Amino acid sequence: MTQRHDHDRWRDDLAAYALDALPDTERSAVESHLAGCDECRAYLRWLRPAEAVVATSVEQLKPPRGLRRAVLANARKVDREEPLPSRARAGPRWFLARPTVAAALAVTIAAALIGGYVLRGSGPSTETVSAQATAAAPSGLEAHLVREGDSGTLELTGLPLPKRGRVYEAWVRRGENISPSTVFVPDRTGAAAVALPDQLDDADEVMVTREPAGGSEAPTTAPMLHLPFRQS
Amino acid sequence: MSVIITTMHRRRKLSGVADEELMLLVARRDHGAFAVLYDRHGAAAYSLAHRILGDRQRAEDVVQETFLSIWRSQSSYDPGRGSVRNWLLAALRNRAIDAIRREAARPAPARGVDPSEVLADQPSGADTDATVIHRETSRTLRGILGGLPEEQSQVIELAYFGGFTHTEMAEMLGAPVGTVKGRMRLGLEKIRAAMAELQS
Repeated sequence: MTQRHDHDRWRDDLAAYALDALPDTERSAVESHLAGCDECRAYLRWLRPAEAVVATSVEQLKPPRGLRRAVLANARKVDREEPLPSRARAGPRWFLARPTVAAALAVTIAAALIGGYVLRGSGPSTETVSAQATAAAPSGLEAHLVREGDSGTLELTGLPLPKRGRVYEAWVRRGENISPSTVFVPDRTGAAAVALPDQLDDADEVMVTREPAGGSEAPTTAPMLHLPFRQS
Repeated sequence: MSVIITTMHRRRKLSGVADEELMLLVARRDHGAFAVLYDRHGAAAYSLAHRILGDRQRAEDVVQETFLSIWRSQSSYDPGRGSVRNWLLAALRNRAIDAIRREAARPAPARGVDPSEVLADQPSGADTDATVIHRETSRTLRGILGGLPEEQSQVIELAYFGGFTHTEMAEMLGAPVGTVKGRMRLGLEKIRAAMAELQS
C-alpha cells in the first residue's frame, strides 16, 4: 500500500520531469529514483508521447528558404574544420551501395581549365579536377570539380540552358560501372554548381551528359565532359 | 550564383529510408541523408522554435544549432527514447528554452501575472505570413491540447513553451506547487488517453 502511494507521489514529479519543469535538485532526485524503479520508468515511457503531442501541436510553418541552405552549409563547414576520423566513417555497407570511405586526401590540387591536368601540393584535403570536353560539349563551356574527400562540387560556366524536356546529368564511373549522381540545369547566366555528395571514393571519373527531364538511370547520350580522377 | 541542384537519384533512394537508418548514415556524415533528415523534420523544428521564441531569426538560429549538433554527433540518437522526430524536437526545445533562460530580460514570474499574457509574448506561428503546412495534423493535435481543462493546458504550455519550472508557475498562479504538478500529470495523462482514442 505504501509502495503504491510512493509511485503515485512520484507520478506527479514524473509528469513535471517529462515537461522539464523541475528545478535541478528535484530533477536529480527523480533520476535517482528512476534508476531503481521499473514501474516509474515504464510510466515515464508511457507519458513521453504526450510531450510529443505538445511539441507537434504548434502551427506548422514553412521555414525560410535560406534555412535549409544554411543548415547544409554548416555541415560542409564542419567537415572542412573537423574531419571525422576515417574509422568512424567506415560502417556497415548499406543497401544504397554507398562506397567505403577512405582517409581524406592530404593534397591540394590547384584549379585547372578544360584540357585536363591536375596540380598537386600540400595542404587541406581538397582537390580541383579539370574537365576534358568532348565534341558533344558546347563551345565556351568551362568546368572543374572541387573534390573534398568522397564528396565534390562540379562548377560549370558557359553552359546553355537545355532544350525543353531535357536536363544535364552527372555520373560517377568506377571501371565499367556508371552510377547516376545529380540532375541539374544551369542558371540564366549559364553557371551551375552541382553537389556530388558522398559518391566519389574509388571513382575513376565524373561525366556529364544530356538526358530527358527527370534524369536517367543510365546515360542515353554520349558524355560531353569527362573529369578523370586518375591520369592514365 | 543561383543554382538548381537536384541529387535526384540518390534522394529517391534515401527517401525510402527509415529515420532510424538515416541517423546511422548521418553519424557517418552522409550529406544526402542529412539533407533528407532536414527535409523531413526541418519544418516541424522551425515551427516549434518559432512558437517558443516568437522570432524568426532566433528560431532559425536554434534550428541551425540543433542540426549542427546532430551533424557533429554531439546529440546521439537513442532509438530506445522514441522516434527520431520526437528526439529531435526535444533537443531543439531544450536549446530554445536555454536561449530564453539565458536572456537577462526575462521577467521574474510574479504572483498575479496573467499566464496567458506570458505566453502571448511569444506569438504563435499563426501570426506570421509564412505558408502554413500540415495544417490538419497540427490542428488535430491542438484539438487534443485544447480539449484539456484550461488549468491543465495552461501549466503544460507554460512548462513546455515557456520553460517555467513548477515553482515559478506556482508563484505566477498563486497555487501550491503540488497542485501545479498534479495539473501537469492529469493533463499529460488525458493527452495519452486521447491519443489512444484516436488510434482506436
